[in-house]
Amino acid sequence: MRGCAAFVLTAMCLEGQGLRIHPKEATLWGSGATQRFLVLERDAGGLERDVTASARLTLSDPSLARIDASGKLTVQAAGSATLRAVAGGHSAEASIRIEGAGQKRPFSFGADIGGIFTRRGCNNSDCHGGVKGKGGFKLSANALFPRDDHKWTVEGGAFDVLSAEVKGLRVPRVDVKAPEKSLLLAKAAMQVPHGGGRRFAADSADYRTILEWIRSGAPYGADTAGGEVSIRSIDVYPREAVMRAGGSRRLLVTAHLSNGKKEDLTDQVLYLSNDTGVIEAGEGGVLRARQTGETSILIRAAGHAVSAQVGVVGEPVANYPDVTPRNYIDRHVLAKLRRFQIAPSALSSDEEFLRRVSLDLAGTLPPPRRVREFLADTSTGKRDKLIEVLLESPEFVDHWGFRFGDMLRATFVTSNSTAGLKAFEDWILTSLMANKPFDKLAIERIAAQGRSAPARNFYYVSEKVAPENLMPELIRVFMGRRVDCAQCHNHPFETWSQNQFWGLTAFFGGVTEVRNNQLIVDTLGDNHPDRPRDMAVVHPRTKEKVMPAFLDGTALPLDQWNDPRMKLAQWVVSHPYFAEAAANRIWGYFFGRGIVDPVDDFRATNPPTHPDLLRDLAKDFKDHGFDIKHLMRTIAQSRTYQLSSAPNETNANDRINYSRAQPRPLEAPILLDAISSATGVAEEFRFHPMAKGDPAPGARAQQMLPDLCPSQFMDAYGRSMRKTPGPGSPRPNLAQALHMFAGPTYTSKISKPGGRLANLLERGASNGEIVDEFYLAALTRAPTAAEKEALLAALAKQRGGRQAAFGNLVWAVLSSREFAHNH
Amino acid sequence: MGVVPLAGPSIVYSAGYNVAVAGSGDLRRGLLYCYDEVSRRMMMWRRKLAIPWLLLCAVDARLGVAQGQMEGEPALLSVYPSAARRGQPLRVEIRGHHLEGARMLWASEPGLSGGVTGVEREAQAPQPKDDETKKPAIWRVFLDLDVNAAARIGPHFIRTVSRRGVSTAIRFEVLDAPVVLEQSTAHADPAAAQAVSPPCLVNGRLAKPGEADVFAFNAKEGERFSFRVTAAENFDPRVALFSRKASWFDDSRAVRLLFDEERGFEQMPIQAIGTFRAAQPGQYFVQVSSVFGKGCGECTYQLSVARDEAQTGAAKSEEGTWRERAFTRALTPEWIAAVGNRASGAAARHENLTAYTDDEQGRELRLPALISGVIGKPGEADTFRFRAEAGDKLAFEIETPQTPPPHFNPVVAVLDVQGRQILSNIQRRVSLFNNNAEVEGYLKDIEPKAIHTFQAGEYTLKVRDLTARYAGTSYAYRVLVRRQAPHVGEVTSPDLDHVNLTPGGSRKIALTAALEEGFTGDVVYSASGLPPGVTLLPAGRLIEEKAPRDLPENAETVLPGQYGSTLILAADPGLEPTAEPARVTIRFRPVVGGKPGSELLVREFPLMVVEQAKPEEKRK
Repeated sequence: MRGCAAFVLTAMCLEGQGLRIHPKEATLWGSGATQRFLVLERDAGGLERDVTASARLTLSDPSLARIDASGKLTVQAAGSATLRAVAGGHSAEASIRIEGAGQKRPFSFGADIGGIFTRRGCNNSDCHGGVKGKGGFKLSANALFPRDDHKWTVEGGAFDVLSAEVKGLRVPRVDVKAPEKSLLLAKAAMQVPHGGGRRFAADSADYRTILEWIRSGAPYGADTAGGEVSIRSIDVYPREAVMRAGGSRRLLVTAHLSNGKKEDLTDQVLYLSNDTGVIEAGEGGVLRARQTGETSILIRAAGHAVSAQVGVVGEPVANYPDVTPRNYIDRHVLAKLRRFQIAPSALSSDEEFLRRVSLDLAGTLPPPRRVREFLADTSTGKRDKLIEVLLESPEFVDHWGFRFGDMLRATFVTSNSTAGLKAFEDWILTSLMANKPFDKLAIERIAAQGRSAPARNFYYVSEKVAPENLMPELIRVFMGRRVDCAQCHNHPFETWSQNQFWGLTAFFGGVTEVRNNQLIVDTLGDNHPDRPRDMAVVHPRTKEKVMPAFLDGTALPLDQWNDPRMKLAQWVVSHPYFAEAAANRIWGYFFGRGIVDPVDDFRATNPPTHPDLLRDLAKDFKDHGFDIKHLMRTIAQSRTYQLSSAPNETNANDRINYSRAQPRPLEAPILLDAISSATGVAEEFRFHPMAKGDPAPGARAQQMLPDLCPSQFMDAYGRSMRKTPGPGSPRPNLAQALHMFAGPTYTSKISKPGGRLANLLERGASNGEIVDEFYLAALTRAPTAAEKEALLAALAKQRGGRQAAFGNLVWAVLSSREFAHNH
Repeated sequence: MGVVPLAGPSIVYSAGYNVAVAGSGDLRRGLLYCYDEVSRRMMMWRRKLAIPWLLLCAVDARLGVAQGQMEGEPALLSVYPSAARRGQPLRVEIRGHHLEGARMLWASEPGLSGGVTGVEREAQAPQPKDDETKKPAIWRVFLDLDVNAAARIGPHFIRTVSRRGVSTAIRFEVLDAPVVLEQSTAHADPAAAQAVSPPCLVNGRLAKPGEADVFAFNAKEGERFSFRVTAAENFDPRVALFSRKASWFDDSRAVRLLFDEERGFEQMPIQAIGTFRAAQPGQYFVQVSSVFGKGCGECTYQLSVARDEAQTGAAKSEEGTWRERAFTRALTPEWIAAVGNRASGAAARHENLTAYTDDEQGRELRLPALISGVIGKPGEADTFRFRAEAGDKLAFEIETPQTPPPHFNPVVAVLDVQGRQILSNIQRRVSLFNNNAEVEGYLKDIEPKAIHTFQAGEYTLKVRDLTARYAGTSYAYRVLVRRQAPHVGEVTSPDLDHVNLTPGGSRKIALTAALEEGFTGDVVYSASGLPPGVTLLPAGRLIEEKAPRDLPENAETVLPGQYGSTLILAADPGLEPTAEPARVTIRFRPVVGGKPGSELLVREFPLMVVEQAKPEEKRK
C-alpha cells in the first residue's frame, strides 16, 4: 500500500508541469544570509503567476536553513539541500548550497546603514538626497557616495555647490555617548519632530541596526558589504512581468558581487511604482495589480538602481492573431504584444505605407504619378524596393540633414560665422551622402581638430570654448544621457557624480583656437611646458585642477594628452551606451517615441519599454558598422513599422507597445514642404541679411538653416531653433490656427499661377480629375467613392467659378488632420 | 604714444601700427581686425587707452575707408570675362565706382591693350528701407580687349584711366587654354545645362541672388576630372557635381555626386574644388553657385574643368614680393643669400649649408642645416639633435612646400636635455577679454619663423603638425636652421595701390619695415619714375617698436620688431593733369653703421596728376 501511495503522490505532483521555482539554483554565503524563492505557475491563459504564498515549501535537510511561508530562506549551517515546492498538484525543485555559515559578514556603512537610508527613502532626491539635503542633513542620493554620507552623518555639515569647505554649524546626527538620543534615530522614529515623518519604528530591525552601529562607535567599516567585495551590478527578476488585474507577485533583486558571487537584496531595497494606479509596490518587492495598464517599477539599492516593466492585463484575447514576423524587431514587439494580450493592427495599406515611408525617409510627399505607379505595381517586393529608392534619394539627404542639423545644432551661434555654419552643414550633408558610419561621424565631431568643419562648430568665445557646455551636450547626443546636473553637484536622480562630470569635462579643457590660422587644437603640444595648464579644468568645489578621466574614474595617461578628445571619442563609440542611444534615437524618428523616451534621457528612472529589442537594435547597428541606412532599412522593412494606424479593440489605448502606427504631427519644415509639394508652389525663402544672398528658387524648408532663414510659418509650427539638441515641438497653438485661416502659406499658394490647381484648370481637367489629383498629391490616396461623390456634389453647388470652388476644396484638404499628420 | 587720428578720414595711427579697413566696409571684419590689434596693445598699454582706440577703429571700420584712398577715386569691382586665351580678342565689362569718363585701359605689363567702347551708369535698385548704408553708383565700362599672342601666361592687373585718375587694379588671367563664356540664357538645371568640353575654363557670373549655373560634360568610364572655381572676392563659390539620374520625387532634380575629397573625410572647409572619377560613361553636370545664394553684377567666377587633375589657370603670383613671413617661401641656399642682402649689402655667408632628410632623424645636425621631411602619419613627430654654444643666436625657418596652413600647420619646437621645451614657433599674446591674463586665454598663432639665443648644450629639434589628426605625403616641410642675420624683412604699405594727386596736393604713404633678427640699423626710402612737378618729401621715422611681447617662458619673440616711416608725395601747384599714369617705384636701403646696403624694391605703382574734383562729382 505504501508503494501504491507513493505512486499516487508522484502521479499527482508532476514535476515540471507548469510549476517552477526561481532561482533554480542558489549559493548563499555567511551567517544569517537569506535568499527569497518564487514559486511560479503558468495559468490557462499562458500567464505566469506567483503562487509562493499558497505553495508548500520543504527543505531536504531542514538543519541547514529555515524557510518561511513567503519563500524566504535563512542560513543556519553549511551544506547542500534541495528545496521542494508543491502547489496545485504540481511540484518543483531548486538546489541550494550554503557556504561560510559560521562567518559573519564585515560591517559596511555603505551597505548596512546606506542600505537603510535607501530602503527607507531617507536619501531620496526630494529628501536628504537632494542637492543641499534637507533640514541641515545631507545624504548622497541612493547612497552613491557612502564616505560623504558617513562624514555628514557622524560629523555634520552640508553640501556647498562652490566649495568643499563646510560652512555654518556642524550638527552630528549621531551621539556615541548617548546613542538612543542620536538625531538619526530620534527623527526617523519620530521621537522628535521630523519633516519626513516616521521612517521606521523604534522596535524595528532597522532601528536596532543603526543603534548597534552607533553603540559600536559609528565606524565606517569596510567600503562595501563583504569587505573588499563590492557590488558590481544589481538585477531584478523578472525584468518584465505581466499580471492579471487584482493579482499580486513578488520581484526578486540580486546583487552581482565583484568576487563573482550573488547576494539576494530583495528585502534590502526600495521599490517605487511609476504609476501606482496600475501597480502598487510594497516592501520586499511585493506588487499588487490594480487596473489594466503598464508601468515600471524602480528599484533602488545603495549605489545602484534598476527597473522592471510590469503590465496588468484583463481577460485573454480570443483568437489572438497569428502574425508572421519579418525580422527581429517584429519578434520582440509581437512577443510582448502577445504577452500583454494586445493584438497588433493589420498591415498598412499601400497608400498608408507609401505616405508614411516617404515622409519618414525623405521628408516629403510622393507626387501623384508615383502614387499611381506604386499602387499599380503588383510585385511582391515593391515595399522593400521603394525603401531602397528612398534611401538613395537626394531628398533623403535633405531630410536627414535637417534632422541631424537639429541633433548636432547647426547654428550660427555655435559656428561663430555664416561660413563656418555652412561648412558644418555641408559636413553633415556629405556624411549622409557618403553614408558615413555613425561612429565615424561621432568621432569626427567629438575629436574635431584643425580647420575641419565640425571643429569650426565648437562654440568658442574669446579663444576659449566652454568645456562644461561642450561635454554634456556631446554626451547627451552620442550617449543619450543628461549629465548637466552633475556640473554643480552629484546628480540628484542618477549615478552621475560631480567628479565624473568634471573628469569628462577635462577632456575638453585644452580646446583652444589658433586664431589667425583658425584652427582648433587641444594643447600647444607635445612636451610643452604649459601642457598641464593647457589642460586646465578646475573643479568648482575643490578648486583643484581636474585630470581627464573616463566615467569609471580611469584617468587618461599623461602620454596620451596630446590628443585627449580622440581617446574620449574612441571610448564613447566603444561604450554600449553609444550604440543603444543612436539606435534609440533613430527608432524614435520612425515611431514618434523612443524605446527610451525622451530619446536622450536614458536613466534608471526612465527604463526602456522593450529592453531586449533595444539591445538587439544596438547590437545589429554595431555589427553592421554603425551603418545608419542599414538601421533605417531594418526598421522600415519590419512589419511593426508597416502596421496600420487604424486601432482595433485591444490596442486603441496603446501608446508604447507599437501595436499600431501612432499618428504624428508633421514638424514645421516637413509640413511646409508638404504644402509646397501638394500645391505645386515652392516656398520663396529669404536669408537673413548677414547671409548676403538668397536661397535658390525651389529650395526646401528642410534645407533652411533656422537662424539664417526667418519664417513666420515655421516659427508658428514650432521648428527647432537649435538652442538645444533635438527636434522642434509641433504643438498646436493659436498662431497655427490663425495662419491656417489667413496665412499666405495656406491661402496664396492654393491658386497661384503655375501651381498644381492653376495648371489643372488651365488644361481643362474635369472636376473628378482635380479631386483625384489633390487627394493623391496631399493624402497619397484616391478619394473614397463616398468622399468623391460628396465633393463633386459640393463643388457643383459652389458659386464664384471653378477656381474659387477648388480653392476651398484644396484648403480643406490641406487643413485636415490627415494631411498634417504622418500616420 | 596715444591715439592720433591723422589728416583724412581714413588713417588711424597707433604706436606704429597702421590700422585701416580696406574697401569692403565689412564692419564685422573690421572690428575683428581692430580687436586683434587692441589685444596686442594690451600687452603694452592700459585698457583705458585701448578702449577709445577700439571705438575709433569701429568708426573707421563703419566708414569702410582705406588709408590714402581719396573719396571719389575710381575703384574697380569686377571684370567679366576675367580670363582669356592668348591671342584671343574679346569684349569685357568692367564694373566699379566713379568710372565715369573712363577713357583708357592701363595694364601692369605688356600684353594687354584695349580701347574703351562705352561707359554707362547702372540703374540702381531701390534701396530697402531698413538699409541706411550709402551705396555709390555702379558704372560699367566696356572695352575691346586685345590679348597679345605673346602676353605672359598668368595673372595680369588692369586699371582704367579717367579724368578722376587711375583706378584700383583688378586681376585678369591670361591662359594658353580654351576659355568658354557662360551662355546668356539661364542654365540653372541639367535640362538647360550649357555644354562644355574639358579641359576648359568657363567665365561665368552669378548675376542674381539664388542663381546657379549648370554645365554639362561627357566622361568616359574611369576618366578622372578635377574642378576648381575661382571667384571674385565678394562671394564664396560652391561647386557641385551631379549625375544624369533624377530624383524619384522630382524629375528636374539631379542626384548629387561626391567629389573624391568629400568621401568620408572630415577636413572639408568650404572650398570650390574637387576631383572625381567617372565610374560610368555618360553625361555629368557641374554646378556653380554661391554659399548663401549671393548674386550680383560683380559676382564673377572662373570654373576650370580639367582631366587628370591638370588644372587650367595660373597660380597666384607673388613675384617681386619679399614674403619672409610666408610658409610658402622657398628655403634654399639662395634664400640665405637673399636674407643677407637685406642686411647691409654684404652677401650672407653660405657656411656650408648641410642638407638632411627625415630619414636621418636622431643624427646630430651640423649647422646651418636644411632639413626636408614629411609628416606621413597623424601624430608623427620628426626629431633631430644639434649642439649650440653659449650665446649662439639661431633662427629656425619653416616652409610647407606642398600643403600650407591651415591644412598642414607645422610646429617646430626645441627641447633641452631635460626634455623641456624652450622654444617653438607658436606665438601667444594677451587677448582683450582676458583681463586676468590667464594662459589658457592667450591668443595663439603659428609663425613660419622663430629665433633664440642659446645656452651651451645639446638640444632636440622636433617637427610635427599642430593637430594630432592630419598627415600625408603632401605634408612636407623644410626647416632651415641657421645663424641669425639681422636684416630688414617685409616692408609693407597695405594701401599703396596707386596715387592720384591734385595740383598742390599731397599723399601720405605709411611704410612699415620688419626688423628681423634684431636688426638695429636704419631704413631709408627713395622713389623713381615720378613725373615732373611731383616730389617725394624726405622720409620721417615715426616709431621704432619692439614686437608684442611673448609669454615669459619664450624669452625671445617669434615676431620681429617694426620700423614705421612716412613718405609724402607732393604735387606742385599749377601742375597740368597727366594724360596717363606714370610708373613710380619706391625702394629702400638698409643702413648699418652708416653704411647703406643694396637698393631693394618696395612697390611699383601708377601715379597721376588729376584735376581737382568738383564738389558735385564727389557726391556721385
